[in-house]
Amino acid sequence: MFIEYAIGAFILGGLLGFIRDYKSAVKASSFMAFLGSLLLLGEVYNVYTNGPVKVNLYGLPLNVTDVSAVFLLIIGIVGTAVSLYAISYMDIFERTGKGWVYAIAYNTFLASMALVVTVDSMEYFVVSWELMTLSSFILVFFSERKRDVNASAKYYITMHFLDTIPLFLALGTAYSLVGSFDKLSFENIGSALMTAPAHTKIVFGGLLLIAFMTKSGITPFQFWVAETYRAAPSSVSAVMAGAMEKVALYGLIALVWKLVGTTYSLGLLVALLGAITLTVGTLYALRETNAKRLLAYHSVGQMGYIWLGIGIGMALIPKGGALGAIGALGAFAGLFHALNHAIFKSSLFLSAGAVEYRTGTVELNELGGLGKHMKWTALAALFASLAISGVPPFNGFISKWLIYVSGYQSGNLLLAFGAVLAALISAATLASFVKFYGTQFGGEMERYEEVREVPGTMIAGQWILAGLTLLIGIFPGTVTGVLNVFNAPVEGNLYKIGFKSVLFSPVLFVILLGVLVFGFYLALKPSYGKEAKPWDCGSTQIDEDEYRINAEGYYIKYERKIDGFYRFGDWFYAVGAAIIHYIVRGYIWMASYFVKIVDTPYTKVESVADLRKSEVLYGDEEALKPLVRFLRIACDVLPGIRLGTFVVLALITVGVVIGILMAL
Amino acid sequence: METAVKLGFSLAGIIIMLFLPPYLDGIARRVKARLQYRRGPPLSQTWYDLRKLFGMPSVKPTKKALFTWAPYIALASAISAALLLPYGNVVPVDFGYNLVVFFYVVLMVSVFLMLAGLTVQNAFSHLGSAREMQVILTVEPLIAILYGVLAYNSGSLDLYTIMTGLHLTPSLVLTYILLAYALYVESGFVPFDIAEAEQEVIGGPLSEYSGRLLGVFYYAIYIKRFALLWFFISLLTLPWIGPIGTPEKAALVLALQFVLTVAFYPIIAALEATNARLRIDHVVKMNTRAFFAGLIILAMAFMGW
Repeated sequence: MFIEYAIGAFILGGLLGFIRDYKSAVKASSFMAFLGSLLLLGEVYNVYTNGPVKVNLYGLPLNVTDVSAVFLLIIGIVGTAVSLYAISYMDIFERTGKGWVYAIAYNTFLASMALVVTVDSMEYFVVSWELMTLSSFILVFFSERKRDVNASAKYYITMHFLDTIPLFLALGTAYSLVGSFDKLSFENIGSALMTAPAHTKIVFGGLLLIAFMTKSGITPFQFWVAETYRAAPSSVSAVMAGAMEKVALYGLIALVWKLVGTTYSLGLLVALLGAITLTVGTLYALRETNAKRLLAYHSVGQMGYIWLGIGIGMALIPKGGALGAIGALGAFAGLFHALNHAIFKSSLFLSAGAVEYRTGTVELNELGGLGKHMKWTALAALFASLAISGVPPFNGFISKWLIYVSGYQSGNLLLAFGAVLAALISAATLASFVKFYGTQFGGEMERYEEVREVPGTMIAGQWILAGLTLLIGIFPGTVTGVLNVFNAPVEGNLYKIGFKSVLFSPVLFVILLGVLVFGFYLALKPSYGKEAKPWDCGSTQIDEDEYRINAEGYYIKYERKIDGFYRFGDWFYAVGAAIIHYIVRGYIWMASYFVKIVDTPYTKVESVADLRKSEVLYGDEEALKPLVRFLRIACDVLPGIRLGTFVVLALITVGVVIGILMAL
Repeated sequence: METAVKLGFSLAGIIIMLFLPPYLDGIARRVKARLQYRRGPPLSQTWYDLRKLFGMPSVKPTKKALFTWAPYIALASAISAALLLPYGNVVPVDFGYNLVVFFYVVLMVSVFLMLAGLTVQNAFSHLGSAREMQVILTVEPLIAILYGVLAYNSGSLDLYTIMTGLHLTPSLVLTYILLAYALYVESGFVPFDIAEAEQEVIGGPLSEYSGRLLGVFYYAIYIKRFALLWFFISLLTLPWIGPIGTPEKAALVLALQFVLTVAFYPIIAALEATNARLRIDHVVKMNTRAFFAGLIILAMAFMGW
């Protein structure tokens, strides 16, 4: 019911882009996206109260299951906050002047994600997925700077090779199983897979797994993430990190797990991939000094946590009994973390965007002292930073904690080690976000004395999310109902959460902490004497803006210690780059038979740069060239002929034709 | 009756945890003095210092609200952590009696210490905060892995289960040793006091604090150290003394915890007095080694040793 209106709102939002004025177009379409996202939340409530529904959306078969509802919730929350924020934020791209591009792409992006998680047939799944990729690609190069365009090209090519191709192959496999394009509903594919041979299942599942790994940035396919999120406008990065990655998780759960089925070893594989990814992503994030790249690597890392949780579920649920319960807890924790990550990561991207909006940069080495001037942004960033670092009582703590509980108690060395890695990385996450918050908002800098707080809608967008980190952290019971699709034995009510005897009561903790903080504050009220500038050893010639450590210097000793890891990662990257280089060489070798360089004939095509530099002629163009040339000449000559000549020529032609026919 | 006993023990715990920590520091100061053939200050000297600090106004280096609030949040976190520990067999406020919650609530003290250091425009504060973070970055993984051994050994992360269900194995003994090291590092005693490092970075994150706010921060740090020590001692003794059924036995256990806590402090003080501060890269190196040792212990635990 709601979802039809939501899609309608998105379509209307896209159409509103055709308003001539850039600002009005962007604002109107963002507002429609905001309404559409709210309607998605309405649909979630509808499914939560009335159970799964099947909808026929203008001929598209939709099946909004309880799993879909979780992901609609994620898309809805992120979409609502980000669209509200984008109403003001998108102003900074006014010089591109293409409001309609943004309006269509952004609304399509949100709508296609909503469709991916609800459609009930394989071919529409693939189509919506492609629509999602395409619209996000357009948004990534929206700023039209050269570096951003390159990043978006890399993103799109990666998605083509590792997402589109596997998905189409999987679609083909599904077609061969079912035998008809009209009946490719997930139910039919599922029943066909029941009787299918094992290797078909492996091929089908493997192809899907590759596609979903790439989209969620699981190692070794995480290479596209950092540059893509850096290049995209911050609001779009927020949606990509918050919602688009989770859509891939939906694929993992709904298609790989539910449709193809899971085994113990597949679960271990997913958990292992998660554990590796969370380590790689977060340690790479630690050395980043660009706020958006840092956040991007952290979304890789946090996706690792989520995959670890889901992997524990996939491995242990089939075992049943006590282990099955722990597995269900792991899967629940993974989903919970997906929701939490969507909330705090989008919030962080919005904060980075707010800083960019006012200062024009996201380079942490240059920023500082903004806390005084952007109080609300700073506090939102602090909340989200504490949430992602897993500090109680914020929401990140609860889900991370449940992942540890399920990992530590799984009784499997690999899964337990995954949980240990997760705890290790939790410290690295804290480190990154101490840096993220401290370098932007800590201290005081004269350079940014004039900076003001961002407009109201941007603050509202950030605070919807930042407020939720605290709200869900204190009352996890508000969302556990929607999230518990695995029937995990999560104990407790609105005030407590946990598993068996391992419980945590956020409400009690907050009350205790609050009473203590305010009690001591009142008992030992801070009294200030004089005001004084920070002590600088009595120096007179110091540049006070630089009297601090910059982002690069924070953890330099630690980074040196784990230099071996970075070097291994860089080596791996170099190997990947070499593979891509040879693929490109192969492509060029093939292309050289079909492409000719026009302006300087006989030049050999050696690299892609050659193709970009010079004017080229493709094989098909060359074959058709004589015809094209003849037509062109005809076009040029015909208008010049006088009528008499034309009549004579026509008569001669007709005569010749008749003569030939008679001779035959 | 039952509730009255519980209330009594909770009250005893609260009194111990609020009043003992500065006295423990007094003991340490006395021991250090004696090792250097000095008389040393009275045991309550740290209390006098705190009282003096509480009585003085602070100098204000910034207008940021976080600068004012951080000491109070740190103190509240330290006290919350201490309230989560068993006194006898009573946990005063059970908001989540398990390893992970305790671990994070203790960590919050450091988090707000670091954030406080970063609010002011002072390179020394920033340096101290970054150092504190690097120590945490290397010591928390070690603690995580040791908690993994404990959880595997007893079958749960829940502290009630751990306190009753640990089996004595070689890996557990090694875990105790490494845990003592890790908690010592986390407490920030010499030679691991590189974050504050009075002589190098003039107090690190605390360098801009003065007067009452500084006193609150010091108090928080003393309580945090106490909580970590009390936690270690509870983990060391409670699993081996059998079920605590009667209030009398619980009182004896509480006395044992108290005596051991007081007895451990001179050892810590002796270690502090006889060591010089390490460099940050040394600490990083040592902790990384300890982490790999921890990995071996975890593997041992899973093999049943």
